[in-house]
Amino acid sequence: MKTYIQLAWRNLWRNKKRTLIASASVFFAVILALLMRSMQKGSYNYMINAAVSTYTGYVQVHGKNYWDKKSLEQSMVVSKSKQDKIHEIKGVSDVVPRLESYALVSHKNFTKVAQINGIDPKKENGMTKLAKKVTSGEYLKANSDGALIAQGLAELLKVSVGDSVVIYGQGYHGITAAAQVPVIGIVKFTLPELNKSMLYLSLDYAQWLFSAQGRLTSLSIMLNDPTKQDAVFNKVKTMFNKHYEVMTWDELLPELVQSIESDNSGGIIMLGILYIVIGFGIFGTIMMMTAERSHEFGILISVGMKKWKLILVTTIETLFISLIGVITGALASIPVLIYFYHNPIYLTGNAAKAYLAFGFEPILPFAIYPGMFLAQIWTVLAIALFSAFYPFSYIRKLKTVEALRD
Amino acid sequence: MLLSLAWKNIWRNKKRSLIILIAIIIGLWAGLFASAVMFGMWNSAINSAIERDLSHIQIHTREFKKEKLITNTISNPSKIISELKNNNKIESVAQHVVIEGMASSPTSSSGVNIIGINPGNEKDITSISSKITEGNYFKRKIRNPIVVGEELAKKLGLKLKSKIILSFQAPDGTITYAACRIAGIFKSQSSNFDKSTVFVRNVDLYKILNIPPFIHEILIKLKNPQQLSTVTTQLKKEFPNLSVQNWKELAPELNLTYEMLVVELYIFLGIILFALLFGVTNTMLMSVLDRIRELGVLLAVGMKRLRIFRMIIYETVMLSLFGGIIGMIVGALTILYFASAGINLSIFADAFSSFGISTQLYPALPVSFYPMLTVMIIVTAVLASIYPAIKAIRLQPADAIRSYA
Repeated sequence: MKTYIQLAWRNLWRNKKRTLIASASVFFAVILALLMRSMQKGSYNYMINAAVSTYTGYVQVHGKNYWDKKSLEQSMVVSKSKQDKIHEIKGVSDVVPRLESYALVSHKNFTKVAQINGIDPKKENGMTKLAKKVTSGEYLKANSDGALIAQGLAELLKVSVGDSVVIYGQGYHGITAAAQVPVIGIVKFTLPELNKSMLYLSLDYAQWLFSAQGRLTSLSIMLNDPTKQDAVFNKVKTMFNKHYEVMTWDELLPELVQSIESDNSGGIIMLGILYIVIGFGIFGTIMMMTAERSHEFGILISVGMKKWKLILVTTIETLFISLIGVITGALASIPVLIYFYHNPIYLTGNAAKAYLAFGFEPILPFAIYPGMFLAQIWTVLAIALFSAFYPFSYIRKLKTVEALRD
Repeated sequence: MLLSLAWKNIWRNKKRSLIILIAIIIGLWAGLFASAVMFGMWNSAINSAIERDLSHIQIHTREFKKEKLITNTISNPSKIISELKNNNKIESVAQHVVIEGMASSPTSSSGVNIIGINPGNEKDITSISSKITEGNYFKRKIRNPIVVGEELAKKLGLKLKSKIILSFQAPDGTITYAACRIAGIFKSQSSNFDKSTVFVRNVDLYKILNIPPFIHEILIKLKNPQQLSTVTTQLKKEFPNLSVQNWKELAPELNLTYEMLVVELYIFLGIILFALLFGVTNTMLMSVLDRIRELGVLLAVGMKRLRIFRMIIYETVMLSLFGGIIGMIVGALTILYFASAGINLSIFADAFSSFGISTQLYPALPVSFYPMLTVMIIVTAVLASIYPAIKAIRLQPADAIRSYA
């Protein structure tokens, strides 16, 4: 076997430039493919992380059917000690209780619809860093009876810190919920939808307002290690009976999951097209290498070389050309990927505006994971083996006498 | 002369030329088609947004754009409407009342945009009347009929004919309640829109509030969407005190994504050509090496090096362009075929409906792609030919003639 490999290797370097050009096409294709995959995966991870850490958490507990109906009627009671028990599960970093509902919010002659969030200020900040978003006034305290209001909503209502707003809506069991609340702080969100609609109260105050003493609509569980998600999910699930539902982020955000899936398949199709083009390049090169060596093949066969041995050598040559490209390409891309992984590209101008409009920071993050290198290697090897069919059938059909006369 | 020589040279080794031609044809065909599919998706997203709620042009008061209050009404709307109707570029016009409020059922409540419409002419502008899944679009005579999205009905736990309470601020600042009955349930391609929009009749709203008719919004549909920017500027001049905006201004993120897509697709096609560049270079290098002796003879009998250089470049450009044009023609034909037949995407319906993309996809590509792509192919071919051409003119006639490679 060693002889064949040696023979194949030497054959390659009989025409250095041709080998190098064919390998170079694989080299660049692998780099482009890796950059593209890394950017796609990076942006998915970023989107998931943004959605999970600003709102849902990795796992959520609700009353049965709450996620479908989003109504206070599906709210639940989870005791403090049970919440602490969840917090003790390995991998859990935060357990964040919330009570959410919609209500009308008025100030003087202005009335808007707002999402009212009753939160535990300390726990909420531990997960979503809400306190950092305060632009004026101060952040909520545990037993505060003031409100934290999103900056866009404050503008629409023309309120500032120190004014009061009237909250008016429907509480638990349809009881009217109404209160006048002083605004103690303004928070700014990048996502316009949130910025125009969020209002935060302390959990106790919200429970009183909505006549839902001791009740929660959701319990978000944040992990310090996302790979522990399944284990945590299973453990939490055993702690709650059939009157509760326990969901993971992908069930909570099916639209995000599906948009990632469809974008991902678009990316894979693009890579497929790129590799088809590269495949033809390799196939063409192999074909030319084979055709111009028919005289040499003829001589080798006539002096007693077995055809299958020749086929083996040419197949190894094909593999070598591809492997040189794929390995050097993967190696060359590693420093580039590592650089971009630590220094994501910041977008400017119109592209940045489009990102902000969808509520994302205008950055192009990159991801690195071992699977993406393997995928390129398998694809290129498959192309190489496919290309090796040409010399295979060429040598098999070769008429020694005719070849000798070439 | 040099051109026809180059053309004949290409076909001296048919198999070699065919392989690279097929690579170019398949690369461009697949690249163009994939681009057209992505383009078609955004076209469809934009068109469905235009038909659903944006329309081509909207008119509001300037205050409404900032405050969205019930008191930000358009004064003297009938005069504006008749002026618009006299404009021969405008196909139809609709008037809306737009109120932010809450929709409540016995079990739940949710923030909604209450749109007051005149069902008769609304059908000419927006597509909701054709998206009714249950009930009908204001046909039956019931008190205060309301048409709501499927998502909202599900969330509030309501069915057809259920009662729904709308609460919103009246012009005098008090909170007003309106009890409506669900006459129809719609499902558009945007789940977000379905969750947050309800339609009622203008006349019912006026009766509930007990005040004379008023409107906040005028929607305009053009006869020819190509005239969007000219009509917008014209109307902006005509109504300087009002806010006149076309869909590109109303939904800038939609327009920006569209523009970004064009750039992305050019990059994608560029990457395909970049990959082809190596194949072409290799083919031409091979072709030059095969002809060392012949090129030596040409040099020896006095052919100028510059002409040989040009001949190799011509060969490469002709080969690439020939493949490129066939690829583009095949691509364009495929796109044309599917543009009328459509591609059924219903298996991915869930994923696409969240972007507001319909499940029947019609690929399309702006015509400007083809000339631009032709230029890109020629540039690629010239780049690919430089190395083999230099190789050819560096030959020493005396040595080359003796070569038997």
